[in-house]
Amino acid sequence: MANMSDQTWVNWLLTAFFTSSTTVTFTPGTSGGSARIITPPFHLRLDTAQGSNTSAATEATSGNCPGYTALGSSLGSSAFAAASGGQATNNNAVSWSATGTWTAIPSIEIWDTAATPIRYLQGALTSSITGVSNGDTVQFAVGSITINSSAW
Amino acid sequence: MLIKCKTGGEMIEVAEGQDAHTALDATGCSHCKDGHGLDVHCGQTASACPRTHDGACWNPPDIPDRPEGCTVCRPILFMGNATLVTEAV
Repeated sequence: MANMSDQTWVNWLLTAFFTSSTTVTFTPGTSGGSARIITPPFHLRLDTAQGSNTSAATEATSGNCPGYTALGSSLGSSAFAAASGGQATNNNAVSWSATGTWTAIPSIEIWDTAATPIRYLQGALTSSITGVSNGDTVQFAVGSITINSSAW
Repeated sequence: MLIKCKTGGEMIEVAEGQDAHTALDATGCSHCKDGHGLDVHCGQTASACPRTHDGACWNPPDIPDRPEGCTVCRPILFMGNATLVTEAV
């Protein structure tokens, strides 16, 4: 039988991590290392080259994507809705107004806003965003980003 | 992606890679069809469109490419979507 996680616990973890609007500190027990601090708000970052689960992506810049600002934009307070079925979706829309021609955006990442930001999630877009030019809007609507931990 | 007529406000779905203008013609652009103003492409009224006026129509197929500097009809809203799956380690 495959290993499995209780989904109620997974829901709780996702909700605890991604709905908080205040700093959360997890303090491990003996030999568990230093405390882990989650610092909302979470930011949505756009990439010009996707990273991996072990290395960060190449983030878009204001140079190759005019109108975008390095370190991304806030996903707002309670970035994600409470998880259900091992999944959670974003609570707030995020958008950018292009002021020039953009390099293609194949993927995104979600970071917190600690002094040294921590990366939490990364992944490819359903389809790359291409062809953005001056005056266009790039938008992630409410519910457009899903964290799927149902198979965790 | 969705394109929006900046004058008429209509939102029209355009397939990836498709020239936005191929989705806007005399029948597809309700701004022109409804006749509630000048055609944003050529300045003619709906009664003069489809293409009974002199000169090239700015809609396809007469001129497939958007005229330089035209910002009337083009993609303006790109919607991003992603599912970020946590993987077993």
